Amino acid sequence: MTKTCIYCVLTLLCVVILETAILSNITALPSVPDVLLMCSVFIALLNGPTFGCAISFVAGMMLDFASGSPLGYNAFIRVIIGFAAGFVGRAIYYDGVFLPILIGASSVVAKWLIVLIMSVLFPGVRMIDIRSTSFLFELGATSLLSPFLFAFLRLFKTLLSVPAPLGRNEAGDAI
Amino acid sequence: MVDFERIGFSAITALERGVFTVTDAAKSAVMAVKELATLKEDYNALVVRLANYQQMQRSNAELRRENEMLREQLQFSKALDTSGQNNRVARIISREIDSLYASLTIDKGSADGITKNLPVIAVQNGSVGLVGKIVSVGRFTSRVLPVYSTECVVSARVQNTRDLGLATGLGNTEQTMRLDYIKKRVADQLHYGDVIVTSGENGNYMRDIPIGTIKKITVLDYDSSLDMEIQSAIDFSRLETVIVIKNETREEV
Repeated sequence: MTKTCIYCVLTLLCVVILETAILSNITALPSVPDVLLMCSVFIALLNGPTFGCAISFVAGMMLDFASGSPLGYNAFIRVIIGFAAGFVGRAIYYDGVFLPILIGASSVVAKWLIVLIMSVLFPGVRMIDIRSTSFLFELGATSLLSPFLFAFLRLFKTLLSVPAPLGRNEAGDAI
Repeated sequence: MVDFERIGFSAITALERGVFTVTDAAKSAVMAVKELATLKEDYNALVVRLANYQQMQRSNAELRRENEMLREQLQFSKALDTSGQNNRVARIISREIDSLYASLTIDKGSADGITKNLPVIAVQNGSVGLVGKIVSVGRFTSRVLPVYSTECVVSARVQNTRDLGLATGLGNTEQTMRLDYIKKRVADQLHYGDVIVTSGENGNYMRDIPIGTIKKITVLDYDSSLDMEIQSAIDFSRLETVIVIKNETREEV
């Protein structure tokens, strides 16, 4: 469990650095594809809602430290998406190409929806313009990158998933 | 009390800085190899161009104008060099990753004497422009709130007429900025392309640093002020290096 946590956090840290230090400096891109969100979603799909929430919170906090957003803003958004991904993770089959694209698109739309609700409840929070080039690019790029990212992360599946307790299978059922 | 935000910012951006340094070095190495490959080609082209230049006759008026322009730039550079010995030249190591909260991270922090609220400028294509101000300082890195951010409000003046207003960003580099509170009665005296400069009145920025130029002026019937759009003086998509102006030199500059 502890080792899995460490591997997951290190993976997310690498992705945060990749996003902020490399991808954000490519000014030709209208926005940065949310690779971090897809990583945390993949880990949540593997490990369920509790671990998904925790790891998404860590990912969000790292992003809050690295970006100019208010502290806790990204953490809150990602915790909700991580919980949802972990909740449905046991029920869906996310191999292949189509489903990862769908999961990628749904995650970005869910992010938009959460920001929309937050902007209604808290006037200080800015709304994402769904028709803007940056949002549409982020949606497209994140969706298209998801199958490749999932395929890559699947190579490290044993490192990123919490081992099942003795006497139980991965779904938690008694053997 | 432990400032978690600052600790987190310092830790994450220190890593960012390290990665940026490595990738920048790798990029430079690749570019150097590429440059070597094209060096001979460029050399031949330059020899031809040099011959052409030697044949060119430049008019006295053109030379005088160019001389004056260079003199102005030199004076500004000297002002920065002599009065601003403590000014810090910094490189941008990362930019905003979402369009909502604009920010730039630079590779100088409290270890280099950077403090919060210091103004940040840049020299691009030979002219100076306002970039923003420091909003958060880590040990080796700092975060800049750029002028195009919706959170950035700068007290500004129209350079020619000296009318006072407030310049606000609209969120991203593609969009222009707004200039509010310029009275309708001065509409006749304003022209497209007029330069908007900092007024220096809010204390955060020194006076007369160009923010941008007037791009659009709209007279609204229901408003006593003009609705104006400004084109930023800085092309943020090409910005790599900035200058942080230290407190003690701001007045002199």
